[in-house]
Amino acid sequence: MTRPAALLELTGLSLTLGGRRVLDGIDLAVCEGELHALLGPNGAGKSSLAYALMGCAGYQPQAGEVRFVGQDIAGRAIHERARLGLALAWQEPARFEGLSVRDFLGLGAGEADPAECLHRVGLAPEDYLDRALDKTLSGGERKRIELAGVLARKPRLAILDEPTAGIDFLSHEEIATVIQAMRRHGAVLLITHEESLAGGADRASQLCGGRIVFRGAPAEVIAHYKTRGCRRCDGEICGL
Amino acid sequence: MNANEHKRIEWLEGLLGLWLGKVRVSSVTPSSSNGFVSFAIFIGLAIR
Repeated sequence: MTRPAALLELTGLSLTLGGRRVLDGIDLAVCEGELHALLGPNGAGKSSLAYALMGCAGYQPQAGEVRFVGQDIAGRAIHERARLGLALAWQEPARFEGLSVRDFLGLGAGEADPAECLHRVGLAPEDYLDRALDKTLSGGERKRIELAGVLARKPRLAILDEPTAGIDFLSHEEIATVIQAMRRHGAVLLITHEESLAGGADRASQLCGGRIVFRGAPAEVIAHYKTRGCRRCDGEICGL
Repeated sequence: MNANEHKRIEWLEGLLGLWLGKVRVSSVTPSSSNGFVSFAIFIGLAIR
């Protein structure tokens, strides 16, 4: 069987912040329809990689190439990357004060039904659609609404930075189902510390000291991370 | 006005609201720029 073309392709991506090398020669490909999990300890460079992919200020790589939908996106601004279909859901979502949840989910969502998207992330539409997207919502509620927004706007590649952080653990299975649903319209790069979420991926990579030190099937990568994770390798793998 | 046109008008009204300052995008922490980045992603995806 032929492998699908890469939607996102990173070659030799390196990033230095404040004199410290946080990403070091990252090679990574994510294909259409793929759920790719990125594992690694705190400080391994997972979120920095997400910010660099999205083109956030201060995260411009010093070396390497980022290709998305076949285009070199190095010089593209954040909104241009988003127009190509790249999106990032934050570990801590921002507030859009003045917009209702209905407006937030409806803008640019095409045929998607805001109520259905809310329902899928475990929020009752009748309780949330007319609420303001402001500080009256908890972090966990905003996180769910942000995920509903990703579902509604159907990006080609959704980068999800710890999507279950701040969400009660009883709902993690619900969030896992939502993430699987996102693959129908594109691909997902999933940054997570949750073994069960990572286990549902197609492939996984382990990041350690800014480098990808192991990649493969999720179960293999999880096992490698547990037995030879950063704290256990004594620098043998990552050189730290 | 058909349903698509109506939706488009609503969308433009929403965008205008953002630009007129009806909407304020707040980062979670003052030092974070995620409000700005979220807004850029939101607009970029919305006008595809």
